[in-house]
Amino acid sequence: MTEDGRRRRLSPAGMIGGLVAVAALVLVVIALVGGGGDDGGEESNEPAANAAAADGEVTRADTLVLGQFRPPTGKIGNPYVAASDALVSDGLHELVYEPLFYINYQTGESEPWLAERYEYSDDNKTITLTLRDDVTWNDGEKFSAADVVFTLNQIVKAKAPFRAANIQAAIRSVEEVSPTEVEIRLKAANPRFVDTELSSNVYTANFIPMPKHIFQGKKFDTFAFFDLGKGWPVGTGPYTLTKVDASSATLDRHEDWWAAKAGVEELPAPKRVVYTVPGPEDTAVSSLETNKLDYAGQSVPTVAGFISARKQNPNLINWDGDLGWLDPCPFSLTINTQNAPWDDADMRWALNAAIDKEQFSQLFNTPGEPTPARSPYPEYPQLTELLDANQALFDANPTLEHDVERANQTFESKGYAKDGGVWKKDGKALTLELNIFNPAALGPVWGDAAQLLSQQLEEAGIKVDLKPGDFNLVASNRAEGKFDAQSWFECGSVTDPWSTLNRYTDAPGNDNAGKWANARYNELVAEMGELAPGDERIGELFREAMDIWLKELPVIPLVQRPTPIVMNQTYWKGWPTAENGYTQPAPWGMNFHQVITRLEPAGGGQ
Amino acid sequence: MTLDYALRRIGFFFLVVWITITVMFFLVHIAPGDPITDQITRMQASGQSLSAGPELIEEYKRQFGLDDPLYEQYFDYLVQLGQGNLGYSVTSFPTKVATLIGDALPWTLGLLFTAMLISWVVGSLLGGLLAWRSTPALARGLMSSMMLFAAIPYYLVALFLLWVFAYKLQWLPTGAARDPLGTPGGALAQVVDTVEHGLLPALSIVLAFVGFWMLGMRSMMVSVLGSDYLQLAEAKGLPERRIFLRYGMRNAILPQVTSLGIYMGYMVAGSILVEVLFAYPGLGKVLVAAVDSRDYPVIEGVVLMMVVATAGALLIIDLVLPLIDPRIRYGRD
Repeated sequence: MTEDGRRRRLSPAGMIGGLVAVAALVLVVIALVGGGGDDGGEESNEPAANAAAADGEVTRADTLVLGQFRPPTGKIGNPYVAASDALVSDGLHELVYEPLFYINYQTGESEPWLAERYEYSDDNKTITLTLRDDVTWNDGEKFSAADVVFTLNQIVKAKAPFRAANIQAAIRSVEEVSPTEVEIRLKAANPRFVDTELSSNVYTANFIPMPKHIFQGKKFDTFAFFDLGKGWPVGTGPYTLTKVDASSATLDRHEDWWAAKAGVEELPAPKRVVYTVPGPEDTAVSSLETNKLDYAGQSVPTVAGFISARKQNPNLINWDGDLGWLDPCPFSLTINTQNAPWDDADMRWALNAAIDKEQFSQLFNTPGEPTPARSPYPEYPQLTELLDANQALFDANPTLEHDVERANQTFESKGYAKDGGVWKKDGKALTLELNIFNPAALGPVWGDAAQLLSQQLEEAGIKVDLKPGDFNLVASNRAEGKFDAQSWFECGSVTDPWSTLNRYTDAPGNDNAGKWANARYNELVAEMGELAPGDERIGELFREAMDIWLKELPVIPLVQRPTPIVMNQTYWKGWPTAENGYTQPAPWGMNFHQVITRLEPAGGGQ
Repeated sequence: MTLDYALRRIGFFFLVVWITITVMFFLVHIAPGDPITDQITRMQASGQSLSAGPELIEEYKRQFGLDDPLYEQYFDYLVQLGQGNLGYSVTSFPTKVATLIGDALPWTLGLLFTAMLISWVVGSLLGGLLAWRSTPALARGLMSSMMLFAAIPYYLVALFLLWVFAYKLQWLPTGAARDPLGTPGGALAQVVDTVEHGLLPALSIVLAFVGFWMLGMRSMMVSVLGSDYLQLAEAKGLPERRIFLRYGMRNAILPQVTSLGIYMGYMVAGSILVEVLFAYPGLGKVLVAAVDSRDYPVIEGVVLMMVVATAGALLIIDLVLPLIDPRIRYGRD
């Protein structure tokens, strides 16, 4: 109140000052509470006594910073909960959990880890696993066959165990023979069960043992297994998740890691690992240039981005020169073999001949060399050797040949005539509904890729009905068969050729979206599936099956995918490269465990 | 303002929210794709041959209620919403949507509220000065140049700022809300770290909107310049600063307050690009991720927040304006 008894009104200056003060207060509050807790209220617990952080302040030189390809989501430690996929983003499956075996793409070997060995019965229906007896969970409890049996039984009983649906479908029973022995009985012979389901294979392991002493009494399908205050998630790996916020996940080294105590491996050198979002291309490149990141790859940076960053920071390396490591899933065009005229193998071959794969590949690899794909297989050592041994098949079926004349001859032989630059039959233009990834799905290059592919096909006289879409739309069209041709990935085999061949059989659940079917091919692949990897009869079966596949060409292989795996040697050295390829380098894969245990300080920042 | 008026405005608020979330619900569900198929296909794309794939999809659809007819899903959604339950995220199950939103909302509000308030204060002051007779010509010229930014979308301003201050000069971080390596030091260091990370996204909003507020304020100020009360104040020999603030700005600022309320609501939705560009962990980023994976409950939850923010801001303005300005009268009083 003023002296004359009137209420004092706030002046504009006063109002403005007040508002600014409120704004400042908001900023301070946000800073202090961390955005109400970020992803998980900045879930953080005091570092456990046996975590590296307890030793004192962890410096940048002690820390490995990974620009992971997906924002950390955290809050889920149970890999079997419904429809969620939280494993990759915060380092859980790479560094907290461990598989029974690792499949090494480079050597082609199955490398035992939590298990020592496995043995199949003669009929390939019973597997005896022998586990190590010196493994402990990171909370100090002993890891044993009881944990493996418990987890497998929970998977079998679960309504819908997300990643382990195949395991559920395959297992008849599980029994704990001794604290280190497990017997798994399968419903049908499956000599690849250990490799494909119990090992770290493509990207991750479908089976990751969970601690029985924590899971017992919990609802397996919905238990989040995430409470950093309780030390969850608990694994057997060399790191413990200690903090998750909206921008990053922090893992501290577990000083009592069983493998170090048992003399199997030394403790990894990085005391701390931080997973963070690399941001868009420019941000990732800038962070690599300034050593804020020790790694970035997969979605960013591009080959050009890597080359640009390396000019500023010579400590940056890639798997192999300018180009990166080959992703296990080459790009392809799935052809809908139910839709005329593409149900005709000759027409599919004409389509293949109309595509200049070198030019298409150049889009992705610029300024590196093109890497067109001759087959749906990734060119890993064992697979390349197999394909090279069957070069005669590719000579007879030249998938890499860009030959518009061949396409023209095929179209003519099928009764098409060119009219206004477009092939027509009965007055109808030869049309291809091309459902292709858009930039939102897999990056800006796909905008150009769609244009280039359309242009190449239209130059060959095919009218292209271009339907670009994000991943979800493409996936939805794939599930419903709403396409003539669709851009996709051919994931499957990494060492043994069976998994990729099996994609195109009519077995339920296969990603055979083009609905191609060939009875002899199915028989051959089924027969191959009953043979253990490495069986000498596989070569012959492969040759015959691949011959059918190539003649029919249900999928047009487009390009191998060299993915820049940019590794920074400023703070850390010992990264896997083509010259020192001790394992695959992808840090989003479970095998990154094998990389981090070989990293050494490079002395940067000192 | 009568009780009847207030009730009508509140009723209108709920009507707007209901219509919007209904349209949004059906749009989201009718759009091609669904979160379950997306997740399973992604898994197949990573090399999994799922022999039990179709059963898995059916089971998940049943668990998340996606196998019910759409109208049943809609009524269930409304019932759940009435009970304050936004449901569970499908792709981050068993995390609740409310948790995801609760974690992101403070970042969005903190960034937007601060940035918008700063741009409003600066823009209104500069707009007022621009129209004020005694402002030096040089200052007017400089201020006018700020209006250039009004014509540039804020995400382009953001890209420019990123390039200059983060990539070239490297004075400020390129993104995120905090240093992922942590901040040694106490609370003050955390505040500094947060402000540092928020500076570029905030500045992009401030720069883009200062011109907008300037334009609005200038035109309002021009309209009050010839008023009798200003001439009287001058005739009384009141100080220039007092006339400007108390007689000029005070009378011209009311529409600005209205606009501020409206834009505060819009900005919650409009921040998406800035948050994505700066990897800022707000609602925009949550929404983009949810749309990418068709996470229906999360999309619905975030859009609901945005609708409530926009309609709520309008409601507050409707209710508060009569109290601020006695000239405004609604209803029969």
